[in-house]
Amino acid sequence: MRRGLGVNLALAGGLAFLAVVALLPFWWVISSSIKATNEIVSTTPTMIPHSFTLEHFAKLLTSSDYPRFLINSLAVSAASMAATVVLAVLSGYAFFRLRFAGRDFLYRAILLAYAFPAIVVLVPLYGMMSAARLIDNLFALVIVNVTFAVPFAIWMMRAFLAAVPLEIEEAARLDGASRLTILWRIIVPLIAPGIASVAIFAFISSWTEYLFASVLIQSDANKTIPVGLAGIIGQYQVDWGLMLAGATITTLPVVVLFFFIGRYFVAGLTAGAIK
Amino acid sequence: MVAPVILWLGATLVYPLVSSLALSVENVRIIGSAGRFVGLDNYLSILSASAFWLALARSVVWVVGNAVVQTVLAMAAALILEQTFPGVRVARTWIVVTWIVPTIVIVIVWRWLLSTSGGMINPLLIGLGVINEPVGFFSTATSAMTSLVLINSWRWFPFIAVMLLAGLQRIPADLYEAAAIDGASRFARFRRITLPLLEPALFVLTVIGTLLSFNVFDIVWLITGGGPADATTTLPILIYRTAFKGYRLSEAAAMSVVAMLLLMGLAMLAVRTLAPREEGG
Amino acid sequence: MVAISLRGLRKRFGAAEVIKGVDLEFAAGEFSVIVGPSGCGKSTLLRMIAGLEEVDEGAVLIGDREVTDADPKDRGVAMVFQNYALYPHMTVRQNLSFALEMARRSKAEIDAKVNAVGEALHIGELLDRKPSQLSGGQRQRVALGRAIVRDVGVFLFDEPLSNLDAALRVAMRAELVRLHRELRNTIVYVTHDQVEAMTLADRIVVLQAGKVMQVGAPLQLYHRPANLFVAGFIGSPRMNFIPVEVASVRPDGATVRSPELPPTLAPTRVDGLKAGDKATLGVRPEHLNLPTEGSTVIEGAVELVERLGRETGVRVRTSSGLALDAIIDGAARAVAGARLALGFRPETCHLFTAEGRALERRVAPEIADALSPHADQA
Repeated sequence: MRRGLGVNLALAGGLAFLAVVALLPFWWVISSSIKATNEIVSTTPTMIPHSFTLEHFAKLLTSSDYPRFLINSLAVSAASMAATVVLAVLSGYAFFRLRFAGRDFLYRAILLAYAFPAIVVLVPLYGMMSAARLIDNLFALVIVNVTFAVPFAIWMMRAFLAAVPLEIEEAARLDGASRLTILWRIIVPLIAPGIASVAIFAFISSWTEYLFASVLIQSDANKTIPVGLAGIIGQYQVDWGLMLAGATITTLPVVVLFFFIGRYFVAGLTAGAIK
Repeated sequence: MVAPVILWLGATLVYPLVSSLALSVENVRIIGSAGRFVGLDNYLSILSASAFWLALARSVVWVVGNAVVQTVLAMAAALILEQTFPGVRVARTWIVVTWIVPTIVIVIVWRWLLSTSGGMINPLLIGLGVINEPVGFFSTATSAMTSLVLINSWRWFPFIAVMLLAGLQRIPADLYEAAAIDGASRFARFRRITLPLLEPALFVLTVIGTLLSFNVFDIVWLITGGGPADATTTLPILIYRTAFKGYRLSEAAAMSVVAMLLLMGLAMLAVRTLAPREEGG
Repeated sequence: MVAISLRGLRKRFGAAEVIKGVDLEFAAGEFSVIVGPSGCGKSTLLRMIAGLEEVDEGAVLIGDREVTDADPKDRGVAMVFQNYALYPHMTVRQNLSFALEMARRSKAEIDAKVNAVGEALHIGELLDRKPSQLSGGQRQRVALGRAIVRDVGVFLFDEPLSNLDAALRVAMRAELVRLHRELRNTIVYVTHDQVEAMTLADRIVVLQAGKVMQVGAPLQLYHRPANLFVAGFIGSPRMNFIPVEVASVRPDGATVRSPELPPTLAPTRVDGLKAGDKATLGVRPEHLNLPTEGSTVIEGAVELVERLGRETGVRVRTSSGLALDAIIDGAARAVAGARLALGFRPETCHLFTAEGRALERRVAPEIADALSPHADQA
């Protein structure tokens, strides 16, 4: 149906509003991270930087612990991503393609995991990790991240698995393939976008996680970015330049990842929403 | 094949939950110290403390505020993104940028933008002549809560928007065409076709969104820390402070159990609505 | 060459029983077709043979071995699916070699077999393409190739031609017959199209609501349907059914009458029949033509005329409201609205009891030839 001029204008206006609301704050932050400090704190804000300096980044990378945090976060997020993908694919396949006793019940129970405030399990988990001597160990974070990412990841897998016709699996069974072979050689290649979506989701969830990271990790050397950067903010209360530089670098991996496989992620979200 | 997941979640979720329940009926103070069984003492003391009820009330305000703002923004965004225009595909992917960015970045972004010394919003408003002096966005109870709700909604609305978009796209175009032929205006088509058909998805998303926003901790903690003067101390904040700053672990456990029961009730409702549609392969 | 035996098979989905006690024997090397309307359970039955559906009661034997609980891969069967079920992410060559890889055959052996099959089915040039780059007919052939490459004694087909256009379907039918002649394996083929059944089968199994209605050679089903259902299912256009009453019973047949029919002698056996019984007279449209010497006449108003050149299809409605389909000469004159008289020779009609059971027809000269076993099968 053709849109009238009025509607087109409203559409353009709405789109501009959305773009401004979503993107302008980031533009401000990124562009300001390369401004000189006096420009950042001046009372007349500038959309385009008047000055140019990389001193904030230099300070961040050389005289703070940020590089350490960066490495820790990368390690934890990558590991969480990998573990989540494996678990989600295996159990997704089991829940949506196999039949076994208690299947529906278990599936619903897993989804129910999101009803619990993370706070509830925070203290007991701390106790458990402490007993397992995993306090201040990044591995503990991986465990927790995976726990909170997996239920949603399984839910995301559903639509992708449903798109693979059952007949193909039956043909493979007749051809003599075992369940695991079917999963690995037939299903996985066909749900690659789904796996990409789950991977991004797991990475992002890990990358941003603050609560458990703040409680389970104690030494500065092992902190992840969210906790470490928050610490720096506390330390240098008014060093905006430093913080903006930190924010910019922290955003980078996610944006890069999203640049490459972002559309699979959105597709995965929407596919999951279609029942 | 399902065993690994079950074991994992069992160990990391179920066991701690049970553990929490146990904690809540003891009188443990500092983490790791032993406690005696005290029955429902903790529950009684928290339920009679105004701090708890106030925090719960603030959580309700928080949740409702988020739901309203997010739904409106998400609906608007979804409607816009459903149209065809140059660049729509890119827009549909990148609308979620505020959601994928780590919370700490969000915190930095908005603390800076809204700061009273420098920043961007205050200078902008002063420059436009809207105000004469910088506004303290986090200095009063109302403004702090409002600002936080807006920031959190800014962060989460794309997630809801993308889901709503999927729902919108499922509505067959023929329905709109038939309605147009029958003489319905755009607004009428929205009200009589879009909204009713979207209702189930909207309901589910609202419930899920509510669950998720109730649990939000880091944004509030890192921007206002629960202040000013407890104005933004929602339940998760209170629980955290009681456990880790007040060293009253068992009390915190009791509070979290109560919160959990509330949410479980809500979640059961959600699952009951979702469940009939699950066929499971 | 392997025989298949189904004994007392039952299956339920939830509360509904879809296969209600089926006993069938498929002889080694035979091309059997299971035919029936949608929902009759034919696909389910096929899948039970394949091992893709569980059997609630009864036994499946393939080549004298009981396989009721065996995995599909251990049954020695290959299956061609309705939607081909080709692996979309693999090339044709990989699709064809997959089963052999699972069986851990040597690369050399696999290559040799795949090339041979590729040649035999004329898909040699397509070996490096992916299924999405193939036409429907080509995909069908790859699906077929996948089955052939496995060298098993039993092929199962689940409505493989229903997604092809008409011309392709005819071509593939010929191909399948040729294949069977060459490979001589046991084939169980499921379809809802009775034309496919008639042209392909050595034996047809008619299934309705989970029960076997009749088993026999195609022409046997055509000339001697055992009940109303088979009579109405086999043969297109459908047989005409005229409700009649038995006027009298003689050793050589029953005389029946109805409002639109003069007393007519139906030359069938008459066990259990007596005067006054309700019955159904069946006449195929191809046996209803313009009246000739000795034919029973029935007439009505012409409702529909379909001229196909070599023949003309007419629908006539009698005064009592009964609709009759007839196929008459292409050159005959028939005008919608006018009255038309049709006739049939009594020897061509069928008689069914009130319960739907067919009364056995006395052999008439024209059907004797047709019934001699494999008279037309080289």
